[in-house]
Amino acid sequence: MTPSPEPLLSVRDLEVTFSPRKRLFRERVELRAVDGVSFDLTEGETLGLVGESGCGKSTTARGLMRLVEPSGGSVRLEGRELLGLPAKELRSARRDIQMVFQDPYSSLDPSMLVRDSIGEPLDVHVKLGRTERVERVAELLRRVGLPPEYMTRYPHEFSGGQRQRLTIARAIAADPKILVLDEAVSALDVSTQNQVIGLLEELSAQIGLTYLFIAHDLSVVRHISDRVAVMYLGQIVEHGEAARVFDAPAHPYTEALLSAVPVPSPKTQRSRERIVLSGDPPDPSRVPPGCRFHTRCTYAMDVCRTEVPPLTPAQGSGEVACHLHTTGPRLAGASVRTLATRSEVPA
Amino acid sequence: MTATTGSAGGAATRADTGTDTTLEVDNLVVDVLTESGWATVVDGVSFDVRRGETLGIVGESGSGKSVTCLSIAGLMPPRQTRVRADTLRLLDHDLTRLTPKQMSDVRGPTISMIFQEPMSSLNPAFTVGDQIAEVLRRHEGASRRESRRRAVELLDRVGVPSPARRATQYPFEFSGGMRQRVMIAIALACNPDVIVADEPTTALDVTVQAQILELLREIQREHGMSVIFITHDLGVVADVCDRVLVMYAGQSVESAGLDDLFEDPRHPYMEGLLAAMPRMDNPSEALASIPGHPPRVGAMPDGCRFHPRCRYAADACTGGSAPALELVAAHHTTRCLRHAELTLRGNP
Repeated sequence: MTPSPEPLLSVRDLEVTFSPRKRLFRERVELRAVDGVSFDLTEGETLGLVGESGCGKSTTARGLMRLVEPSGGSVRLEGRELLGLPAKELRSARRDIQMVFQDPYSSLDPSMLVRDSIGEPLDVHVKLGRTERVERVAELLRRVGLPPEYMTRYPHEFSGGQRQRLTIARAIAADPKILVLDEAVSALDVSTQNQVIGLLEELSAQIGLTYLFIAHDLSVVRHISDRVAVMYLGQIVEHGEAARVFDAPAHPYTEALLSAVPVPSPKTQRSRERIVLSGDPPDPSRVPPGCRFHTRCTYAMDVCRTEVPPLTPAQGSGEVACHLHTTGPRLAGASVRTLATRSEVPA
Repeated sequence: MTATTGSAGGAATRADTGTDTTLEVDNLVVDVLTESGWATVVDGVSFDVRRGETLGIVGESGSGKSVTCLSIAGLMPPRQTRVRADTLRLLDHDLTRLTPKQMSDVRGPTISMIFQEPMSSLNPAFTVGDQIAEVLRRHEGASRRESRRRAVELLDRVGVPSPARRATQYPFEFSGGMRQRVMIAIALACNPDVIVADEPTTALDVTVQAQILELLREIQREHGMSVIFITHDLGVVADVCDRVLVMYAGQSVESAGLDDLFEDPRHPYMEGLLAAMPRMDNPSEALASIPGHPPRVGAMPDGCRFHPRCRYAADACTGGSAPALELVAAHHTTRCLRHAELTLRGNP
């Protein structure tokens, strides 16, 4: 992605490889869960990372935070390389990137008072005196919309939405620059979900937080993101400004993904074109040759089965990795929706 | 599937009885035994399901959607549950009078369920083929060989590739979407009149969800069965349902035809739900949310149960017993005292 102002976080060719044993005593197979992912995060923006389960979006997040060790690439936070950083320095760097997970039930220690759950990152990174610590926790609770009195309660006394507020309070305790939100609102009912999204928007406006927002719910991603990157089988297949990606998808996978999301309006839903992809996403340990999406792509051409498509500029903003833009119909960055029919594509 | 239409009843034969309503529920009340005694979790749910239609049941978690359907299917633990209703009729069976044993005989050929998490509804220790065959043997007395053959046919019908080979595999060898197809095959095995699908696509990716919704639509078109579709996703409702029942705090609060409900909601809760759905096709609108939380079981507010969260609540809404369900238009009911004075915003 083109760096306009100096990016806060710059990820280049990130690779994360697992080598699970398929069966006992069999050879290990290499599984590249993240295979050459690059993106920038500019201060104050929200980048949405979308894709189906197993596409590597969570592993990308974990890799850049080194919760799993990447096997290649580079992650620079304000110009400082994080990969290869010794443990002690990594710990201080992590203060700037905090993560919020999907399940607020398992990310808070049930035996710890709210005060100590939220205070823990302060103990690690800031080291405050007792009264200062209590004051800071009270302020954090207020900031996430909860009364400070709650600090002497236990997690089980809270609802799912309130717990997610608590995990956000803990994540912002040590003043990070970036929050990585991994399906952070996915487990919540829609009304509660919107309250938490509202809180996130407020926090980004107030304290200039930058978000990497990972989610499978495309409606939510469209709402919250400035830019969006779409992943398929460990790679980014398309990225760009949210409005461009959603209104003029340039990659057939993005087009299919968007068409699969039902819209809560019977009239609109009846009139929409639905592209039902056949099959499941392929096994990441047996990645298809050529374009990884060709096995499910309604536009697949001969070249797609053998050659890996490079990222080329998409019209409006961002980039797309698809042969339709360079060979065949030569979309040259335009939306796939401009193809009048699927039969325009030579088999 | 015609070849597998069982002799023990099924949609085709039942149609001859002439009735158009497969399931009729009037004033269903369900009490569950908790640590602190009996608690009423479903308190006044009424609806009916007509042959061949899809009824959506929507509401937030804890609104009683699943308990309603589990109670109807007789799948709640009997000693810890009390089910009462003015009417609870499935075809010509009065379900309030059936013993658990009788209910178990009725269930297979008339009503079956598909759950959200197929991994926990399938037995990990048996092959997928055996699990489908078991249903056929239990309910239709099919022979071992015949039930195996039909299991393979069913797998083929629900779109599992190489069904003969897949029938010999175990659940862990299937992806989430394929497991849900297996669940649908099991639900279809006895060709039931009603299928209850409880959040069947919530755990699936959107492209797989689209495949499963398409499959359910096809099967329903072929067999003409009724489907009760429990979901919290109004997008899915708009995609698959003919009519919708809205639940809140253990009660049905509104029911209407799909287009009616979205264009002209008559209960403030439904208006709130519609406004809260983030829309991919209309991202500029601010995300509304309904303030507060649904009440807890055992701590239901007086009057209308929604009043503490309702922006239109008046004094009359806050006391006494819950408002009654009122018919506000043809096939459109609401449980709101102020429905006549309010103009609510829909989402056509």
